[in-house]
Amino acid sequence: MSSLFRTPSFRGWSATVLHKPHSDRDAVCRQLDRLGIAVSTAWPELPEEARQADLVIFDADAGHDAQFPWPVEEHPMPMIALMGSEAPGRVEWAIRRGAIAHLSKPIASSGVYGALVVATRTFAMRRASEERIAKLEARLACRPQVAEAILLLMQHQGSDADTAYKLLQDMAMASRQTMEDVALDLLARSGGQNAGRREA
Amino acid sequence: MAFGEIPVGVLFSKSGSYAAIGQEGYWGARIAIDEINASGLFDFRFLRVDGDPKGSAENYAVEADRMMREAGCRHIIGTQTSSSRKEVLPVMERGRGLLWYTTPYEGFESHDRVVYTGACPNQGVVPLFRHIVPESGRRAFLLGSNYIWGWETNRIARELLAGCDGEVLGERYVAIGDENIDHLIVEIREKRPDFIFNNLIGESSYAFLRAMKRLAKEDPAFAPNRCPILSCNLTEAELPILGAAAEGLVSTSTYFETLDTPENEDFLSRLEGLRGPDASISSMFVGPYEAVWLLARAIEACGSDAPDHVLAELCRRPHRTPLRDIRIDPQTQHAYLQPLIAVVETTGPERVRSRFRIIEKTSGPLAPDPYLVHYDPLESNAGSSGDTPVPDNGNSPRLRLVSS
Repeated sequence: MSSLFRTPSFRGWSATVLHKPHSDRDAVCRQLDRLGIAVSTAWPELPEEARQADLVIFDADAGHDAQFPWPVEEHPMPMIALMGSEAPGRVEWAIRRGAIAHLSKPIASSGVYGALVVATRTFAMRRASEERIAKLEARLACRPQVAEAILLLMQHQGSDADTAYKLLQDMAMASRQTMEDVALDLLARSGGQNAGRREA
Repeated sequence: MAFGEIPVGVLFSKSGSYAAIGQEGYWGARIAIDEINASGLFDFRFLRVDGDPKGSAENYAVEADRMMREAGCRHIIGTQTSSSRKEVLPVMERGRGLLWYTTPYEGFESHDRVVYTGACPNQGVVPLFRHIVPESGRRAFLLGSNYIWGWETNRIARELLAGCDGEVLGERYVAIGDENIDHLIVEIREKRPDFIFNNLIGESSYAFLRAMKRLAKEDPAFAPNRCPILSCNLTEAELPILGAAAEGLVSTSTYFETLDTPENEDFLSRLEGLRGPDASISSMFVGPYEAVWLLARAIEACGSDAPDHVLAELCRRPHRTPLRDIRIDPQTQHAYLQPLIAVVETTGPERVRSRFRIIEKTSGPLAPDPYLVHYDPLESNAGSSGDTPVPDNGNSPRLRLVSS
């Protein structure tokens, strides 16, 4: 029972709908408009400005990679696929292209709000885990420097590995840095040969 | 223009678990149809096509389908619960008909084949909390029957309370129809909230309210003036069932029988002749009654009963019903409504007939906002309609429940 749950609101957002002129496209636009979203449409290609949109909703039936101004592995914003065909190749393409929610054609008078909430929430969660993974990977890459810093401290203090590790931890805590950053600092100050390797 | 007779579906549960409000809806539509046919104002007549789904959601689609396909109805007045409305939507879509939904509901819908004339949350729970929090306090106990109305309405209540640094002391749900509510009373007695937000329905609600009256006798801290009980959907239809247990309850609606306008006075005196002096009129009656009048006015104005034409006409300008002019927002197909807040009073010891005394009115009709697009409980002027121009809405107070 989280007391912090807030009613999702999309007022002031912008969306681009990539779909040929059609009643399905109109139905989607009408629903987006009701939610206070500024809508633009595009067909057959997404213009470069679409990158600035908060949302992209695209046709999965007639869609193909050349319509997008960004590479397939890049997913700059939450995307929703409009699916008529459920042929697995089409579904797979939509997912690869970045769809994290979908609406089935024909588009009825409802469904967009729910799809938006799913897509934006999933997108935010994915972003957060990607950032976390990147941070962890960066720290992992510094393992040799941390080991070297512990050795340096052991030599300097004449202590054992556990004590040196603990000292490094305390220094990190006191300076509100990660152990990796403290290790890099130490090596830089002592002129160690591996200093600055993190950039490599 | 040769319409002759226009069949209109009237789809309410006149029997089953919520027949009390179903009957109100049915009579509202029926009396409006009779008035229109007898008025001599129109060059068409409405032919009433009845259906009784008996309170079970799955019957609604069957009845609606029959009305459209066999009786040729293109307009259906009715459905009250959200689950029954959801059942009817695909039928309306298939037949390109129009459903006139007149019950207050939890919002988050805006279907092309529906005209919504009941309050959505920005016209119900939001003004209710804006009234009660500065007066009673910020520590609330939330209750509900275990289905979407209670869940969603309490979720919005939580958000409103969070926005004013309020506190939810408890949030409890009981199964629909469950009258075993002693544990709620025990918990409320222990937690001592500033007010209780009651979204229980039917028998559970009646059992709870009676038990709270007993508690208030034992402990005056739970009397209505110290720990009020709030509701978003208690109407005149339920007051006779509750009797003295209703005294002091605070409810919100867009119609109360005690609304002091000349139009309402005329309306009530006409109905007294039809329904007798003891029948009270509630929003459950008035909603369908006004919807049928809106339908007649729109057909008259656009010269067609085709749903798409009627809808376009409705959204073009306000239309007159015997009680008030009603304006439908073209974007959401919901009505502009004036929320009222009222407290239940019993009129005298000799006669236990209760009524609502209106204690607050918004200054004018409030624009509908079914997706709460123009609302942010943490924003200082949330609930006002933001930057969208809303002419009727210039003086509405800020939503912020308390100013500090």
